[in-house]
Amino acid sequence: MKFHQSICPRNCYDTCSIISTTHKGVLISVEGNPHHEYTSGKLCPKALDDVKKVYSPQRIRYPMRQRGRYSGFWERISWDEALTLIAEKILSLKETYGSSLPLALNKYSGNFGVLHNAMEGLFTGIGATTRTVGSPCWSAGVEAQTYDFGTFFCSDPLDMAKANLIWLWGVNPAWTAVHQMPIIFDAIDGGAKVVCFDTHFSATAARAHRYVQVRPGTDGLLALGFAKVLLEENLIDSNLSSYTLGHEEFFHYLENEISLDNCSEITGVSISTIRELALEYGKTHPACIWAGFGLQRYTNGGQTLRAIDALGALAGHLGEQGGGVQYAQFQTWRFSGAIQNPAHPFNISSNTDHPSIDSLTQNQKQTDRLLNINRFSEEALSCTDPPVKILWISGRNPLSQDGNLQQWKKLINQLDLIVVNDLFHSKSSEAADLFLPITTHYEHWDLNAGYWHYWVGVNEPAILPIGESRSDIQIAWDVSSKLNELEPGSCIFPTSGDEKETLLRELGPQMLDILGLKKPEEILKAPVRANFPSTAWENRIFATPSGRYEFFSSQASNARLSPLPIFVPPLNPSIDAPLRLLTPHHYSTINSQVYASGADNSDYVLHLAPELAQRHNLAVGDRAQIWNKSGLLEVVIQPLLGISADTVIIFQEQVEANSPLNCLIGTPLTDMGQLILGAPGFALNETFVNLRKL
Amino acid sequence: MGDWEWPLILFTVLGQIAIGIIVMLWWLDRDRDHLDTQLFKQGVYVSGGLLILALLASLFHLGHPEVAYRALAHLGSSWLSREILLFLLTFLAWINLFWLSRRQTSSHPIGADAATITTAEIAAEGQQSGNRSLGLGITSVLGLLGIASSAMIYVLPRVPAWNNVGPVLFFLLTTGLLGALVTLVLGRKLLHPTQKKLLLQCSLGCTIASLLFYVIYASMLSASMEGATSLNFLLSSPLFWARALLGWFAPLLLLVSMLKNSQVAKTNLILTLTLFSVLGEVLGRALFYLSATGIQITALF
Amino acid sequence: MSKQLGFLHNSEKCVGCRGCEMACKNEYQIDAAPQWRKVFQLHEEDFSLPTRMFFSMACNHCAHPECLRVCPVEAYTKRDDGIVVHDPNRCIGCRLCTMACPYDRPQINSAKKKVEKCNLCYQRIDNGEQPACVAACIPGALELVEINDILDQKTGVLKTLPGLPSPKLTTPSIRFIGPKQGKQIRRD
Repeated sequence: MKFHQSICPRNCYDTCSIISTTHKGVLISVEGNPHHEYTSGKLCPKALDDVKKVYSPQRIRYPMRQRGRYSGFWERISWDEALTLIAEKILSLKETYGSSLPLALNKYSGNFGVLHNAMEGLFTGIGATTRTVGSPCWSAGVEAQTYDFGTFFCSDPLDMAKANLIWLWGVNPAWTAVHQMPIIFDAIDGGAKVVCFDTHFSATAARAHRYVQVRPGTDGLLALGFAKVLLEENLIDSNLSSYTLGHEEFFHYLENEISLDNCSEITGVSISTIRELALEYGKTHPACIWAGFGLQRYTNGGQTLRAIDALGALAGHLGEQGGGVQYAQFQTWRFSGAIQNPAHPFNISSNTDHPSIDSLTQNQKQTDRLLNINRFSEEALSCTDPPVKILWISGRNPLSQDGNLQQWKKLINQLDLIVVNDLFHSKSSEAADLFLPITTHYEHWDLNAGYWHYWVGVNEPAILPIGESRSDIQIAWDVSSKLNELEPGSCIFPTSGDEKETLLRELGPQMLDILGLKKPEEILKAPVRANFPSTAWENRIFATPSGRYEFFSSQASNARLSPLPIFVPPLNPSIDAPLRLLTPHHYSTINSQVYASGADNSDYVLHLAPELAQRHNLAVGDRAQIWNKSGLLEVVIQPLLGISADTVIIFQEQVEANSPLNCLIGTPLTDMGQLILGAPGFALNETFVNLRKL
Repeated sequence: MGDWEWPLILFTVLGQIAIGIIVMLWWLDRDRDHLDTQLFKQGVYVSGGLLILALLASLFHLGHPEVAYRALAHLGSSWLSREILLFLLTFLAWINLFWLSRRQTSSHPIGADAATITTAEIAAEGQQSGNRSLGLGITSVLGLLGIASSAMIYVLPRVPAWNNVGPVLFFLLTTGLLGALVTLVLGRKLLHPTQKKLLLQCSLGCTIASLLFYVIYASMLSASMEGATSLNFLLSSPLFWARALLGWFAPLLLLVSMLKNSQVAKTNLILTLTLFSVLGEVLGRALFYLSATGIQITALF
Repeated sequence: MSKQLGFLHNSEKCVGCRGCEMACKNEYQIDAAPQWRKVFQLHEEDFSLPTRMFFSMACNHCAHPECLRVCPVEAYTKRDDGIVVHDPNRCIGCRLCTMACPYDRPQINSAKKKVEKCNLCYQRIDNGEQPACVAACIPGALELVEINDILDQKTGVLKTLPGLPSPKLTTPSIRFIGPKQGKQIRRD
């Protein structure tokens, strides 16, 4: 029996450190790393299913070509055939259009390991290409926190155990960050009170002392209502003027623009509750707010986060141990980026004299055509000079997660070649021409950081690749090698390499400093916690232009946003689509990533208030349809207390249905995200549907 | 809700017919010379054949029939172990009967000339007949104990529909009913009319008892939630009504009319009646397994 | 029997993540079915308010195990520490135990044609380790305990929950810390 260090690469708060066990080269078991203080020896059910996932008969083991998109008629081809097909297509397009812009990469968080950025490196190596910018996940919140704090940064999650009051706002850690639950329970055992704000009564809400149901998209107003009570009751931090900017203007806004009557009516929370909760929040120290990602997936999502940040600042909870407003962080991701920005080898440079690496990448960044990941199909279709002809989908399943599927269909028709690299077939691979089988994190080297806790670690291969699968970086090297074989100098991305050496190069001086390491090799021993203090902003010195917490942000103002956090109403339902559809994560999935041996559901389950079900004469198990102008979906009814009658919920479970859940989704965008991430985020929660019984 | 347990249905019903035949032969043999030797032989052969079939069928219930012998290992508390032991002992007793039947050479047709029989022969025959009766008795007792053990297997606290005297009662009534009818079929040419009448009366008694006890049993079922589920399943199942028609109402009509009109000798009627009752009992046994609802976790999955 | 080991399940802490189910499968690499351990959600109707409460159940290593009583091949034995161990080598697949257990925890493996169930990871316990499910429970809702009067006299320790068969049937070695309900301010 041998033990290996692995890291779960899923896009999840927890980014667990795993000890995997092999016997005679076969992976037999995975367990949480007991020496990792956040994983603390325990794994969630998704990771515990990994052995079955690695050896699943459904896993694709060989490169495959589909004869006719959506035909399902896949045939096995050799790697050489696959690589030749791709390389020849790239070269012929370059020749036709005199540019590599027809080549598009759509990649996101299917595997958050750093070596997966090789795909970006490959594309950079080919030349100026079409890329995605932005994030379907957290853009508005990231930008909001950047306006307020200067960057988004959260306390060490273990800090929450020290809180005397925890507000879980629009977050359901029981299902999406389960390792935080024991920390919250520790706080409860230590006497802390927990309040959960959410649109629906979740498994987390059930374990809170108090659950407050907020009308979707109005959380920002509720935060401003709380802030107004703090102001009225004089529960404002008396030192505000020493570390914040613009509090007077904010007070003025609260006094003149926010009325509790209005706040109560819009949010659905009674004035007495608002007062009671605000007083408790103002008087209890330390008090922590955890703002979830769902909160900011509205057209006003950024303002919501800014309002919540402002509430925390007003009450003086910023920088206090066990306090703060926690969202996420990206400070432990300061990798060197060498992989994305391949060095230009001197011997193949033709018309420039030894360009410096920096100027070259700078140059290429400017010429890449950047499309908002959340409106990829629409924006790609509008590209005409030159059009997008090759799409490479990596670490994503856009046909199951993106909005506006009609535009996607059009785009697919226009494309000459669609390449997907993945572990399993997906909604997206149904449309692909080529499927390249990739390795799991048990079969390749990688380097992973969390966006919630402070840990960074190395993932070492535990077993040999299954079938002919290859790691993303190996595929990138191979494509580059084939391109250079067919046309020397056509790609500056390395044509071969060593995964371990490559990942060690990602630990540049800045990262080594953050991790407190002298040499990159030291990280091979065990995961390392970044040496940040446990409490974010503990000195109340912020990264904003003013160095203060900015109630009033000129950066926001420059981005044509209100300089102050304000309430902007979310989208309203219409007569045609009167019900808001929420599609939160299910405990068994992360978006379309599911258990290998998950239950085979053939129906989406629509959770709704018993009252709403009654109004439509629907009982449990009845079949119904929900629809809007984007699409139509057949569902099975499940009435559930704890959902309001203006909202319906479908959890993102694994469902084998013809029509995917995202057929109902358009591409509404969030108010923020452009400045920091290059594109506004996905206002997924602004989806409305109609309901009828079948 | 249970499953279609074909191996168990065949094992229990065939086994009960087999033992029922022996019991009937024993009953008919209670006074010397009342049991025709030919019928004895036939009865023993048919009973043995059915018993072997039943035991074979039971093997199909097992995931690993090749190690079925292990089932004898837990006599201390497992009624299944006890059942297997008793059935094997019954089979041994049957081998003794088989051996006896092979040795019974002479047969005395009814009304044979008594003068030709010597005292020695009478004595030998008396001895034979005594052995035969003892053999039948032992086989019957072992067999009935086996059937009771079979029934006790299902007396599970977890299954309210079974956790009562019902299984034992119904299994024994099946034994009596089908044992009598099959014996009647076998002896349709060899039995005295009075014997036939006796067997028909026995069948009638068993059928009436079965129906009556079933009504009482059904009313008991509704006392528990799981029992009520079983009852609802039964009453809404077409199989149950087929069972009632074939196993209770049709046989009752036939039996009453046969006994009333002294049509005891009509072969066709006997065959029809037996067919109905066998089908009724097979369906009844299938429903016994199908309708079993155990106490279980009722929280949502 | 010198003691009775069993489980203490805290429904307040169990968030229904199914980590225990999957830890069991990870430890023994058993197929999707049978499920040695299973997480159940309590019926919402059994409480005055919405609850979203769960309990996790494997073999309860009953004080009066029906499986052991009815098994004809003595595949079940009860150890000195109360663990009811099923020996698949003895099992002949008669399925009687699956009929007898009110918790449906012994289950037939249709490929092997034998019954399987939780043996409380006795090999881990003998090594001084926790059972796989207990070791893997992230919120710390599942504990290995000794079932005795001291435990039963503690306040808040329950012998059963709504939706469970009466413990009188088999005297299961599981105890519960029942759900508490917080204050709910709802719009529905």
